[in-house]
Amino acid sequence: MKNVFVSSFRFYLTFIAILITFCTLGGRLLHLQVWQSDKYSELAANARKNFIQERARRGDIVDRKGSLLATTRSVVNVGVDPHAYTQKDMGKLKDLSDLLDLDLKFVLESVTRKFGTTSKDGEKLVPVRWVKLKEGVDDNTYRQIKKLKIEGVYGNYNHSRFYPNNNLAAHVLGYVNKEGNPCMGIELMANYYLKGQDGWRESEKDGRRKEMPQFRSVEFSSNDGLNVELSIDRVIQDAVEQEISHLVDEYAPLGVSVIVSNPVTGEILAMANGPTFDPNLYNEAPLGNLRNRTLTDLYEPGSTFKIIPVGGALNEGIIRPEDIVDCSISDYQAGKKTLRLPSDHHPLGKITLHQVVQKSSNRGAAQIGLKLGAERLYNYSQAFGFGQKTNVGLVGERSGVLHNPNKWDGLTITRLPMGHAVSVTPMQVHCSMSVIANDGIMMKPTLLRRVYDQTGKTVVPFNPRPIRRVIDEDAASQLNEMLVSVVGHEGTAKTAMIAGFEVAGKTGTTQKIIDGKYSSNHHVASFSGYFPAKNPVAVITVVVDEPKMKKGRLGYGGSVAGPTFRKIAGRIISYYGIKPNPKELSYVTK
Amino acid sequence: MFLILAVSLFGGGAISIVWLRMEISATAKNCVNLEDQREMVARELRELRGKKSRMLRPSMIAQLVSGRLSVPSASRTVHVSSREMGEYFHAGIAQNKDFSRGSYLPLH
Repeated sequence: MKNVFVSSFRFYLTFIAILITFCTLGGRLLHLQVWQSDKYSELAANARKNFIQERARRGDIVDRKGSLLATTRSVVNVGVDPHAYTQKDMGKLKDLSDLLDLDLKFVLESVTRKFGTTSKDGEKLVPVRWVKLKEGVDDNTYRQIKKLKIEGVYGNYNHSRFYPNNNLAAHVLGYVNKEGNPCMGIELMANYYLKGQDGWRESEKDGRRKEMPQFRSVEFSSNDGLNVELSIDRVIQDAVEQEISHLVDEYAPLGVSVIVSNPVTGEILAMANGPTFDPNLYNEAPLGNLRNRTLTDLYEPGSTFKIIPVGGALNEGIIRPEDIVDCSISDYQAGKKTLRLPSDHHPLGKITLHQVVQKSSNRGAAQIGLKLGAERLYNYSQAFGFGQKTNVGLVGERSGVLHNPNKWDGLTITRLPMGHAVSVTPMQVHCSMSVIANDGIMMKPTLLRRVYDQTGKTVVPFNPRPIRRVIDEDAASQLNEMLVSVVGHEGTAKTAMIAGFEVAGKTGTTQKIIDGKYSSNHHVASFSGYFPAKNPVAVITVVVDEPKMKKGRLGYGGSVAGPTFRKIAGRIISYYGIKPNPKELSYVTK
Repeated sequence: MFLILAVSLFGGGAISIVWLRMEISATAKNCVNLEDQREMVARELRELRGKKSRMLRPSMIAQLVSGRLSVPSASRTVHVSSREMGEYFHAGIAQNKDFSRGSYLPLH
């Protein structure tokens, strides 16, 4: 029989060896599970934990008819993990470079760049796990890339702002930069409503870093941004931008600003500038093109300002439309002072107040200003909105310059009524003309109509809001009649006449101050008017900065801005289907 | 007997739990796939809305029909009041005419 017993020494040796082994293992287990428990638990949890941020989609911006002006689309940032890339996919790189419109050499370099240096320690080599190939790839292209099945090539979805109409209403919309920050326009103004709220979820991931959805523990859904409906009408905006383009082709001015609004509600139907830019390619445009000139550019309004002293004087009852103003006198005796009155282009003699406006007499306007007095002239200028922001809401708006009477020199009282010694924005001139069109009531200019949610339900309405009554209805009506005669055969704005429609408006031609002096070669031509005069549907203001005229011609408001007004008005008439007045039709024909 | 029952119960229970967890995983994966599909459709929809808006820009449409169609000017627009339309119908001129979409109204 075989001896089954072993020597006690060998037994104990084996026993102790096994005991030590188990003790070591036990000790290691204790070390891992008890002493270092917190550390390793945290490591394991972190390795498994998957925290995913859900970016909220920025809301859309639409025009008053619901046409999309700005939206958010998903684009893909395509890149490659050089460590995951294998040589067997080499043949597919040509297709990849074609799809991404990249140089094949660049793609080859990217897939083989396995190590790089860190910025902190330039000498230390670190593995590169992501080399960006192209940003902003559309979904369709990305799907074709995925079909190539190149290992290591993948993309990350990202939100990108998209302006489908390119440069349409660019200055109104503004843009969102690559970091996702709104920079100007409605994008910045209505950012609170548009931005939405990001969400997040917590789950676990597997060894391939893929989410294991069954382990989703906490989830906060993102709330997409609300949509904003503007008062802008895309059809009118497009017509305005086309006319600006024609005007630029013809006169090559430094800048053009056009505003169209409904005087009754204060809603802005179009606001455009030239030169303009494409918000999709904002970084390629010169900085000057990004400026919303309707709100930022200051100029001396010239004769368009004459509606203020005349409107004020009519409202105060110190003069009537048929009263005679002597425009032949060149000096005015104010107490002990003798004030030199500005001259007119042509001697006008004794004319009625009505004709002062119709012929745009500087001397006549100066005398109205003197009758009104400094304090009242200043107060009416303020009441018409000069020297203060219109608060349309867009950033960068300037308040212009309207000095207090105690800072006026002796001549200001005679120069301010003809639109000198004051700096204004095109928007301010537009608002002042809207006051006359709206029977003396100033409405708050607005670009927003409502904010609505994904179901179309209005969340925040923006209703028309009157600011103040500037002049009474009678004074507005009298001034309206005078402005109608401006756009007539005897007035300064014949070029703005529209067959079949009574148009009211005022031209403005200002010499620019170059090297401290009024230049006879640099002008700002403007026209602000509305139609039909009795029941206005639109106020249009056109301001052209330094039109380049043919030799011997001056850039008058009537000859440069008037025709643009007429063309825009004609297109609005066709668009709205406004019925012409047969009486006006025959008047124009005559 | 009790032992067999207990083993069956615990064994069956354990297998059920595993089966249940597998089902949860499969359902979760399906949900994620559906979410992805929905997101893909939403992305396509947004892309199409953008394209539609671009194509419907008034100047873009005008370019497409340039020289053939344009918005009529005020002088070439005929305004017909509801009263005139009433007279038109009462006069019986419109009788026996096809007013379906695409047909032409007779001009008098």
